[in-house]
Amino acid sequence: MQSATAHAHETHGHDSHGDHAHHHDVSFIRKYVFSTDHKVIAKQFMLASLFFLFVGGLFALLIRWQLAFPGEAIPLIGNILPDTWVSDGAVTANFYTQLLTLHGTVMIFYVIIPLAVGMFGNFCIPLMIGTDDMALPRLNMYSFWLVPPAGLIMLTGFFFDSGAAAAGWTGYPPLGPSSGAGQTTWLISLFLIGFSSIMGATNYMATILNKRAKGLQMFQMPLTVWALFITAILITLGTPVLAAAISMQLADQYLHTSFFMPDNLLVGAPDNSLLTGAFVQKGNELLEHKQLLGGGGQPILWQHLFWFYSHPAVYIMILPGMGIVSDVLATFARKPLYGYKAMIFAIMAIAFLGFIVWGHHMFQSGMNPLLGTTFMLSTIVIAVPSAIKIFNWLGTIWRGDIRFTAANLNALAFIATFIIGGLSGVFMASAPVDIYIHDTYFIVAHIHYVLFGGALFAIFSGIYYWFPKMYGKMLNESLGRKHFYWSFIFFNLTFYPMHLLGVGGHMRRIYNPYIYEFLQQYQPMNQFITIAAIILGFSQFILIFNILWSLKYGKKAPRNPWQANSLEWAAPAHPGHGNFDSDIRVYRGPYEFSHPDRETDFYPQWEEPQGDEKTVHETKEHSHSA
Amino acid sequence: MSFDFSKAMEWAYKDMLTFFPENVSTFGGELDSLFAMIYYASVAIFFITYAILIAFIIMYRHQEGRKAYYYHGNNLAEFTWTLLPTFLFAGIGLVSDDAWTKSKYAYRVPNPDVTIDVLGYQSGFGWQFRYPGPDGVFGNKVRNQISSANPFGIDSNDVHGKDDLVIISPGGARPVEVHLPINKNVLVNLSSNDVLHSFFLPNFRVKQDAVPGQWIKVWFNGTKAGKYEIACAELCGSGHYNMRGLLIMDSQQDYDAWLDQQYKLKKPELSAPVTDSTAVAAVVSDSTTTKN
Amino acid sequence: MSSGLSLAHEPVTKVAHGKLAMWIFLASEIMFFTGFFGAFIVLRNSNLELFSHSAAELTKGLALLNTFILIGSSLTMALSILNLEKGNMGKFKLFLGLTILCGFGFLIVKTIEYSTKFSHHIFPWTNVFFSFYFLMTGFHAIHVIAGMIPMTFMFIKAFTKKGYNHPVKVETLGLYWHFVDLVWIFLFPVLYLIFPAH
Ligand code: HEA
Ligand code: HEA
Ligand code: CUA
Ligand SMILES: [Cu+2]
Repeated sequence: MQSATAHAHETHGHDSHGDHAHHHDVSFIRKYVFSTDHKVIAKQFMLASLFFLFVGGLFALLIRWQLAFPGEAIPLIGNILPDTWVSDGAVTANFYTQLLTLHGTVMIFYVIIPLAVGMFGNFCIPLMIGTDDMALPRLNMYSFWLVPPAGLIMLTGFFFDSGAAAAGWTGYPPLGPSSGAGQTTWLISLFLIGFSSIMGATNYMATILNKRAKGLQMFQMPLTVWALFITAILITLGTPVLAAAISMQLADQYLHTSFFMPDNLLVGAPDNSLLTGAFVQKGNELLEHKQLLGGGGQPILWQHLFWFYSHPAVYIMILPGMGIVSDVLATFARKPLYGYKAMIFAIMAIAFLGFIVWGHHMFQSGMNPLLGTTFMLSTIVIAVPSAIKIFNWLGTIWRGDIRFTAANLNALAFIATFIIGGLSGVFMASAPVDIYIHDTYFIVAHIHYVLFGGALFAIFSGIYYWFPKMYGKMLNESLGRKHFYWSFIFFNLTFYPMHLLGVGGHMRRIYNPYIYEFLQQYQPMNQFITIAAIILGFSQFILIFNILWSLKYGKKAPRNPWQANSLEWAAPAHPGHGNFDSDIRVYRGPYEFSHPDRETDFYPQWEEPQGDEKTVHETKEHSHSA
Repeated sequence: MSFDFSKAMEWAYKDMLTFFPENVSTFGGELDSLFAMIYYASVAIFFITYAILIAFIIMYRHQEGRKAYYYHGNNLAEFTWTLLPTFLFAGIGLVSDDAWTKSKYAYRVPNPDVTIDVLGYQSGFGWQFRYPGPDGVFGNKVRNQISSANPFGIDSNDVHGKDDLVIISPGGARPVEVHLPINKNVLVNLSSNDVLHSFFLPNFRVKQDAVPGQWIKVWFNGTKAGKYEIACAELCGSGHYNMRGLLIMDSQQDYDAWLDQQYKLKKPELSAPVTDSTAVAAVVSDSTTTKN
Repeated sequence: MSSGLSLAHEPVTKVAHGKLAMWIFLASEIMFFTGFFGAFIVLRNSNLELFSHSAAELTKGLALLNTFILIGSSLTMALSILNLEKGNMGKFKLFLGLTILCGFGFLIVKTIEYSTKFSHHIFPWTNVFFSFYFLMTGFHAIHVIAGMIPMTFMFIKAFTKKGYNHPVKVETLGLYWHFVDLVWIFLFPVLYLIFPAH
């Protein structure tokens, strides 16, 4: 059996090379740049997002430097930066606000979502459902090629003299629309990336519904695919609402409408340097006539529209991770996933509830407190399906035979950090408790425990797990472990203390905390956090180095390096266009590990039931038994 | 740049709850104990889940010749760990709700002994306060009279408005300073004329966004005389960090004394409730340059 | 795709990929306009009087005309699909052409409507109601244009030697076109007819 696969690998290895040969006539551009192959597009997402991870991280480190050593010149780069950003080497208040805004925006919209949804969605879905490509490959290509321009548009803001967007990643009006061209680039950028998400999500759903391999039931799909499927639903229903809100804020900024502006605002006229023609002339006449802007609008309306998208968005960021972790854990515990159906229903529950809890971001916004009560209750309820998932993961490793590969370490870290990040969420879910900790570093701690500790560790796990199939090379395990240990330790040292800052009353988004007497005592703590953050940041270079090194010197990946069950491992070691070199038929669920009446401890979905074995094992039969 | 490692590590051996600044308001204690309750629940959950996680990682680490247990889970387990959290979380929800209504619901605001208006403002980043004046009655607010000279939009032909006392940042780095009496129900009508701000009194556990076009009621009852800091907790521009104010809680007598001293200062220009616009300008130029 | 394999079997749901994707995309589109309608309702309730006397200034006649035009275009669209499936290209071209004409008709009427507003010094910034009016009808018009582009492309293709014979694609476009029609069916009463009582 072992030898059989080995042999198979050899021959197919040749096939796959031959497969490449077919495509030599295809121009370089079509093959690597404007490719419609879902695997190439996945790699493009990976490349772009890792770049943005470092950009966003660089912003974070600048933020940290200011908080630890306010007014002191930034080491190395401080004195070469233009003085629209720094004054004698130190970040200015204005630049700080731009940094934190773009840090948040870049990390959420250009790192986590493109990695979790764009990269894994593209790479995993067609392979894991055993088909040759997406349902609509060309649409897929467009959805990627919106991302780099969108990101760059937003970053250009830094080079306007009015600076980049500086209203926070939440862009609350009236601050948003009453500020300069940077905000405009921010809005346009989000509109584009939102459109790209929608195109991608539409495609994922069509693919999963229409292109599953012969015999693959919905309830035989791996959780990664399930999670991405439900994430796609969240995207298609949530993102357009943000798009609508964005167009309204753009109108407030340039057409002098007042969707979010009440009467008689004492804010400066919106900058309309980017716009010309009759509208601006009219607009300026108008501004002369009544020196005060606005009329009839409501600032809180934006918050409702924004969070109606952005709360589901946080689950858009975590659900794919949850799927990945489920697959990685089962594979390396060599054990069927505990409660497969329960896990899927939990994801569905989270997705559904995710649409009725957005108000928990607005407890102190001036929204009717009665709504506060209902949002508090719905928010607390959403913790339940999350609890279910935690316990099922624990059940999965229970009585397993756990292999501590880099992928699995990151998956286990995901559970560990998500418990903390989730529990801090429960504090804030209680509206009265949130009164005090709202907009403090307690929130910032929560953000990073769920986004870095949760989403990003899951993404790392996925990268270590699927890299062999992506590039045909194994990642270096010991480097992988090093990257994990450094990241995990310094992640906690960076972000755990932020809870304490929050309880101490340390507001977020403040350029210099130390003008407040009650915060001065926390400077040493901020310095500690900053040092930890710098180490955390530089630890990420281990990952980059590992990827580059393994691409060149890494050992050639076998077809099924982890001896896993799901369909992607039936494809050649380094699949070419079209993915598979044999027809795929599915006989069982994806988690048939350590089946008692088999000598090997795995039982691939595509392997025909052989010999005396009558029953085709399906997950659903078992989830009820015992 | 100086860095004292031992000070930096203080957090490591201090309990989270000890980080709260002193609470000096009546309902503050209740909010803190709610926090504490959730904190202890979370700590329990944390230790339980981590104990299980770590135990499994050690017990079930890979060993030669061991084969994992082929098991897809069972429904009884699913039910238990669905219900368990449900009850626990439902409990949290119920106890939270009362504290919430008490501190936020307008109709639960106890009849106030002192009422003031507060505005956050962006041009210079600070707070403006309005006391009803000797006659104890506020002048009407009319939106279309709002201007940088008359931020509260006090109706110019309302007699009650003439003596209203308006206090703003003195300019420079000095924070605005206002007084209020202790052991009295203070009602704050909160708003803004430009962007969102958030009126944050750390020691009173009070936080409420100031929303332009909307007067929001905030209340508290201070229990201890002293000097406390006012902060802004909602991003409102590059000077957001710089909206520090000082709230001095006095005994009733000291408070009264302070009040009519303020009225005396104000007498000369009783006619129009004007805020020294040059001072505003000064603050503008200043706050953008202050850096510690 | 690699040779000799039947991985690309026929759609599991029996609905063509493009068509399925279109259905999903339309769900997304519904949420887009829901965002506007939701905001509209909120601000309407806080500006009832303003909304009612502003709504009175809109020209219902033109809007009604446009409603008929769009409904007509939906019909011709359906007919063109029908004929393409039946295979009689002549009728297909005819009805597709009519649909495109309707599209242009709609846009012309809109232009007239807008320009009269401008001449009455009514602009997006005049008040919140007109902000909604211009933004919502504007986005709808953009959707109309977006539909007409592929339509024209198909129409031109149909006159080439190869002709145009992808019923499914036309059907998919048809779905979109009916949706655009539907949105207008909502916009018309909400903006033009329903006056908040006060
Ligand atoms: C991946 C992203 C992600 C995820 C998954 C979550 C998950 C949750 N979040 Fe979080 N949240 C954010 C990202 C995320 N959040 C971000 C970015 C912000 C800030 C936005 C801004 O900038 O303002 C935010 C802000 C935020 C707020 C607003 C705070 C404020 O501004 O004042 C609130 C309030 O309720 C909240 C609540 C929750 C809750 C209840 C969950 C729940 O889903 C958590 C559920 C998980 C658990 C509860 C832990 C696991 C369960 C167990 C260990 C079992 C327990 C066992 C028993 C009870 C027996 N979040
Ligand atoms: C996935 C999301 C994500 C991630 C990964 C991070 C990562 C980090 N964040 Fe993030 N953060 C957010 C999402 C995220 N953040 C959000 C949403 C907000 C709210 C924004 C708002 O308030 O509007 C926020 C806000 C926020 C604040 C609060 C700012 C304020 O309120 O004033 C702080 C402060 O410490 C902070 C710190 C950090 C740090 C130190 C990291 C570290 O993990 C970063 C580690 C560094 C790297 C991974 C890159 C390493 C780069 C180098 C070593 C330099 C070399 C560079 C090049 C070669 C180009 N973040
Ligand atoms: Cu005012 Cu922040
Ligand atoms: Cu949320």
